[in-house]
Amino acid sequence: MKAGSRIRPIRGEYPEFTWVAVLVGWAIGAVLTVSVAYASLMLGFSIEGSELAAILGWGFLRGVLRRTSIVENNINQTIASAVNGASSGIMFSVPALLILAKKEQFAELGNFNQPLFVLAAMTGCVIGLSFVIPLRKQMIDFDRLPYPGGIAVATILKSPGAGVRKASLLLGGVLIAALCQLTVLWQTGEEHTDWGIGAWLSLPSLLNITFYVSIMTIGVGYLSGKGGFWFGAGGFICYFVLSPLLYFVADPAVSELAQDPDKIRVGLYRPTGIGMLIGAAIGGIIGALPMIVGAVGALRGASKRTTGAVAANDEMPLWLLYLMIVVGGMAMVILAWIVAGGEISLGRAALVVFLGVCWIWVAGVIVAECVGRTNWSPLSGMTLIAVTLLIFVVRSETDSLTTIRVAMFVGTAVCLAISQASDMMLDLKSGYLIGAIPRRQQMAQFVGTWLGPILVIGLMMLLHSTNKDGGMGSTSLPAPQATALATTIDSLVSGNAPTYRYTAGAGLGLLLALSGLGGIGVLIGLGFYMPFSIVLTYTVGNVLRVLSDRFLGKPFGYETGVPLAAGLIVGEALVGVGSAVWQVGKSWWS
Amino acid sequence: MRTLAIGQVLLWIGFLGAALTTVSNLEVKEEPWSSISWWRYAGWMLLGWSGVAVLRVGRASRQSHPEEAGMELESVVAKLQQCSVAMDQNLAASIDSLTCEKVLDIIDRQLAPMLIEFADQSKCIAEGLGTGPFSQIMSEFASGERYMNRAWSAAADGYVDEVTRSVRIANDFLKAAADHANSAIQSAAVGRAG
Repeated sequence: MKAGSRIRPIRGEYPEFTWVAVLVGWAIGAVLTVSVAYASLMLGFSIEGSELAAILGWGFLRGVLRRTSIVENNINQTIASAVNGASSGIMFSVPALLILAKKEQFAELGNFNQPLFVLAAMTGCVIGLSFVIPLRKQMIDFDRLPYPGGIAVATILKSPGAGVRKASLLLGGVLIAALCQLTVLWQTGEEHTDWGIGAWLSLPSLLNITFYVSIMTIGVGYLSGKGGFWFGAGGFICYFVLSPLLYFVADPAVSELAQDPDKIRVGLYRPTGIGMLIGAAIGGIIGALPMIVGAVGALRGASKRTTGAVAANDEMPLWLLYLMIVVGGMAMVILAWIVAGGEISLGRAALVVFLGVCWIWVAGVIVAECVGRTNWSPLSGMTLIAVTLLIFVVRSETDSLTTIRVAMFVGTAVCLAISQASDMMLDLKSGYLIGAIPRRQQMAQFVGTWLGPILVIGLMMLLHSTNKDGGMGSTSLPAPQATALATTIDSLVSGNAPTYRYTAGAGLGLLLALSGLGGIGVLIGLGFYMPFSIVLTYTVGNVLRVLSDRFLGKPFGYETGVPLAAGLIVGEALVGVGSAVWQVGKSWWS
Repeated sequence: MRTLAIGQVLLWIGFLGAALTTVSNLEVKEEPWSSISWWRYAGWMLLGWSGVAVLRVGRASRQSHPEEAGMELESVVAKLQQCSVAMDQNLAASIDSLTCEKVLDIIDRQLAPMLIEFADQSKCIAEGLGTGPFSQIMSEFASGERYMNRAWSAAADGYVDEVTRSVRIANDFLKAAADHANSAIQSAAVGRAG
């Protein structure tokens, strides 16, 4: 090739999986993890760290170390986000043990074996990744799921080469979103707030016209485009069809509930939505089986063609992934039996782990598809289902304390597995867009995944032991997701889970998944599950994309809309993490 | 088309009826499973499933009468052929004489939009030729697109050896995808004639 005017030609190997990328990834990942874990504890939601890791990597690798490799920075952000993947996975689950321990009958739960839980988390990460990696071909190559977060990361990674215009649009989006988010923080004192425009316009409360004030969510909806429409449809079905019908035809108790959107969502729509997600995932697996078989056949056939050697080397070998699942599963059986202190048989421990591993597979598919289409992950719902199933299996053989301990042990592994699965798919999408070799990214994810559990459980115990307000679940350490899980476990152990509604919802999800309309079961289920305020704001982004494609042409979307929308996601995430760091600093100072 | 419309109506009426049945009652504490009227639920689900059956019959009928979908399928496969030719002629054939800036320009302005346009319409390959050929074609196409993206990244960073290598690999993959698509169309035509 010839030398050009702007880009200096460099000969030799293209740096990708290097020690520099690994060390920088670990360092950035550690910093991110501590901040985001704290945010998960305080705010109840997590922040996906890939965008921030990509920006920090860009600044450090290019700016300080003068290393100019997009694919190397991609490995850095893959490792950093793998470390960060433990934040939500652990903070949404493990603190539930400390919260339950405040009750006298569950006091012993507070003395759980931390090294064993760290091992369970690591094993769950490995199993989750091993299950989801073979889905790459289906979800990214065949279905071409958008993974809006992955698009945002790829846009950041490519920005040095994309030209001044796109970099400016990206930066512009960052500034707009950061400004909006800072305004919300300043005006309300909270990270996020809702705008109840329906009440302002005197519309009936059951229609639930409330917008989640988040410009990032509009950006996500824009990147999802037409494909995210069914997510919005799920919410509209709930509040524009079902709620009015319930108001007019159901009995008075339900009619009254229909006028309180928050209560009806928690009481009726959310458990139905969880069931729909399960049914849709199972239906999706059944429906996609011919394609998955075809994908495996395509890989086998590839070895006979010139391109075959390249294709085969680009993917991690299936036998290795299956071996990791088997070895990880066996390790979990022994660890679960140890955690139970001999109160359950090895056979029961094996059954619990087998169910947990099966659920990792199903839930991994659900979450990978949800994140792929909408950028939202029903992680807490899937963890809740896992713990519910495990409690049912264990409790017939032992007391409540051991039941909870074992269910939470395997449940933690499941939660981490699901969290890593969604992060991996998102990173593989950004890798696809910048031309990364999938096998190297997959190896990078394994290289980063072990560090997060150590950092997060350490942070959790540090915050809990030094807190003067009562520790986890107190006003200063609310841990809302873990508190919800603890409440649910308490009701499960006393026999109060809405499994009938999960079952009915599963039937609905299965129906939609097998209708052949392409993933709508998962999206509509998610629309039932999520607050309508978020769905509405997301739909604004969808509509903007559809309109811009229709009237301004698709090239406008790729050239202008996508970088701008990616910037919106990054800007709000930056402010979120900055706010979390600020709160950590403030509480340590005080 | 009418069959598909009827299928959709049955599916959505069944779904909405079953969803309404699912959320119509609060929990009955003494017998939680009786909180849902399961007979009514089953009735609505039966309607929904009949809609699914009608939709599947409609789609199968479309596949076995490919003259309705044939024009669309052939034009999509032609797009894939154009992608392969464009990669070969515009990039691979002259890669040794191009600058990194030129490579970026060719990919951004010519190749990427063509590949995206094909990918957006590729679902009809699964409907027209079946999931087996679709997965083979898309597997090669996706690898080709990924290596084209790698060529872009390497060009942006200035790693010229990687640009050359990635362009050649992308070219091979796209050619393989186009070859698969043509073979699959010919096999389908022979199968219908037989």
